Amino acid sequence: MLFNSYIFLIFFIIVTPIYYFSPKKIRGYVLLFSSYIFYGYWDWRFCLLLGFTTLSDFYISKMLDSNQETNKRKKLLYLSIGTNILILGFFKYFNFFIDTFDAIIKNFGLNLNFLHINVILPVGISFYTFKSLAYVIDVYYKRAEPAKSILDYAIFLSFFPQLVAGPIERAKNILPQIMMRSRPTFQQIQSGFLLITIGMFKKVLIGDTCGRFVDHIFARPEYYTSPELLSALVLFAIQVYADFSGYSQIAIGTAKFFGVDTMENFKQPYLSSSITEFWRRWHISLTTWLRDYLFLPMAYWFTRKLDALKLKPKYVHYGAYTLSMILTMLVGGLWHGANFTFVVWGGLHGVFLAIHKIIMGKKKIYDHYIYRGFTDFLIFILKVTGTFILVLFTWLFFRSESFNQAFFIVQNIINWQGSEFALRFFVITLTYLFLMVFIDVMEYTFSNPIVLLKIKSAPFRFGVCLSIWLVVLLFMFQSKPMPFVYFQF
Amino acid sequence: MLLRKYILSVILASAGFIIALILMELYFEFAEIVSPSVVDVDAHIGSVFRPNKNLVLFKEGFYVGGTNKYGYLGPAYPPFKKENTVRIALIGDSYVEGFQLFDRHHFRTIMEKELKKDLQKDVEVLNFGRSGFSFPDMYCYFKNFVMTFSPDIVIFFVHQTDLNTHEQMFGPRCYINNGKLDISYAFNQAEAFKFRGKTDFLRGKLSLLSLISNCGKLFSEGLTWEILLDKFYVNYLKKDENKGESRGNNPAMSSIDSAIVRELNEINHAGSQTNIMVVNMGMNKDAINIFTDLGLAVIDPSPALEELKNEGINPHAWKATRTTGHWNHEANKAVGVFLAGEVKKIVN
Repeated sequence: MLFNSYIFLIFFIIVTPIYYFSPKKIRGYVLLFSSYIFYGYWDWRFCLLLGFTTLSDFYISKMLDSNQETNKRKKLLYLSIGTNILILGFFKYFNFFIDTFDAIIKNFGLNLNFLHINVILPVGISFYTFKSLAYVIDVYYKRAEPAKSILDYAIFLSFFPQLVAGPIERAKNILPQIMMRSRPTFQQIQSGFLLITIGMFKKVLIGDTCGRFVDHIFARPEYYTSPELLSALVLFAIQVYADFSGYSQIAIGTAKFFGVDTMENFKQPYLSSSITEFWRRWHISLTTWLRDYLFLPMAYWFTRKLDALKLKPKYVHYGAYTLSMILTMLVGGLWHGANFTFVVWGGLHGVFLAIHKIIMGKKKIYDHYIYRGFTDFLIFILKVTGTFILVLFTWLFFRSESFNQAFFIVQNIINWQGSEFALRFFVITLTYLFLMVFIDVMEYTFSNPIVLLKIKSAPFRFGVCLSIWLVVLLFMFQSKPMPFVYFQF
Repeated sequence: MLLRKYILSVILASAGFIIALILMELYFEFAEIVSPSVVDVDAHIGSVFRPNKNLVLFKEGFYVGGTNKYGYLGPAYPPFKKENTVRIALIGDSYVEGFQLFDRHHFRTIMEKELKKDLQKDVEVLNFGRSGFSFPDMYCYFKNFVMTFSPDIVIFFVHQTDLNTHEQMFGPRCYINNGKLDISYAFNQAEAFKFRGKTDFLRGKLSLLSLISNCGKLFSEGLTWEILLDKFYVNYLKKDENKGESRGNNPAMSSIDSAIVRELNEINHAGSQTNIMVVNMGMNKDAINIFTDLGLAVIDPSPALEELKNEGINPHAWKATRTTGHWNHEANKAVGVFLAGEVKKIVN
């Protein structure tokens, strides 16, 4: 089910009161059953895979908890990691690897194309696999308590607000809340409703409307001129952000209706004054996952290896950082999709992050701007613009179907050719940009994603929400719901 | 005291509602999310385009453009035609209107470019396409509006489904009066027409009203349950309804259609400056025979489209929306070049 569809709203309106009015003992089953209905709505076969991951990781973590023998525990951990990677690899990357090897061995007159099979990519597989992996690793390192019952773990993994596109929440934050099966408080319902309202506005009225331009122009870029291509690129940057942050806000808001508070996934990333800050604000749940389970172990490993070479501590530090960062971002890129364009996207970010680290040295990178006079503010604006341009450039690879398409677009933007619609595209793009920046500045200034709460008068706020919902529902009625960009991952 | 508080709350809620609605209207307009209605009704012509209106539409393809100051599509060529200029008017339904691609990719532009390149004259191709127009609607539009632009060649694009019907709700109607073709303008006396006339200024200005109108259309087409219940409705509740006749199964030509063909043929041969051509968009053999028997040449663009198919290109496939529908970019190019070739034969 897509959050931006009527069927989800109907589902949500039915499930929430059932959960609320059910006795505590039954609430867990209500949540699990509704989560599987939510997921099975795409394709019931996806539930089997989710069920398998749930069972295998639950029992492996149980054994990890009860077993104290290091060797056996290690084997169990590798078994879980191997199983998860294998499933993810098969469903998401099988054809990608076959095609890649096929392209290589074609040079030797061989053909692997017959191995190409039509695999359906289960929605959200990357998200719940990472969630489950993190759980098993945390249990292994005793950073998290294992789930008491299979029901708790099954709810944790299939919890429908987060199932298909995160946030990739850690067990130690969510499991205790799920085990409580508590009813939502008034505050949770209020902030949940406002978050869903803002999320729907971002997704339906910003993300989806931007996406229509983007999809058409990126599908046939050869028919569009430089201003139109540039506009499509900027609109994609807005689309992907509005779409994913909107989704996250709906997910966080929906979870609150079941008494569960989850982590923030976005903190106004386009207001970042450096690429490092951008990654602290963009898709936070994935970034912290990659940091904890990939970057840090790799950095320790590289540090040990480089130390053994008896290099200067400075070189060891930067060397380990650079190598681990680039590798982490390459994996992060590949996580997004089975295409080399995503790898390049991740790689570019890795290089930018490494360069920034080398430039900054041990200087502290602030996460929040504090006004220190006009000149300082101007420098901040320049830095934000510069960071946005860098990120924009990488989005080109993220959105393009192939390198050829990406280079074609770059070439056409550089060899600037006007368009009869240049002004209109400029106004359209500027309007979206202005709105997105306006919402972000509000959230940034108030340090709160629920900006609507800042409207002090409750009736006035109610009127604003009613108006937003009216337009959102009308728009949803007249156009087919657009899937979330991150669903494909 | 409680009542006062209650009234204040209602006022504040209404204020919040209206202010947010105004802001969203502005956002919709500047971002061109839903364009205000470009269609107006004229007491004589019926459905017309409002002049100088910008339009962005997303269908199988995507359109950015608008109407010109004379109320048709493409460059604004004035009613007065310059000397040594060949003026061609295209009349048809959504295929001619072409709200799936930019005007620069429309077969109108391709035709114009091709003809300008080959003829030693200035060539102007005017797009009078109107989606949903039937053959009698096209004829009325031709008589009441298109002819004021003094075209040398008028090309009608006719499909089988365009025959034997009037599609416009507010528009003139063809009828046979004492064996002769006539046009009735009774629609402008209807109360609904007068009401629409009074509210039309809003429809042309507010994007949100267009949004409501789009939803209303879907509601009246009976799509509400499908939109609300999605798969549940499609898989379990929807009855196997015959969704009406598909394109190409309309009844044969009516006496009105034949009378229109005769009338057009007379224009063609009565020493008039205007040449009439008909493009077959999918008529059956009987209908084509009536056209040709009554003396109007029917051009068939299918060889141009077949050539595309042979190259492995589906002329109706749209990559962005993964749908099939109207002619895509390649098809428009092929049809433009093909029609230019046909027109050259007449001009030469």
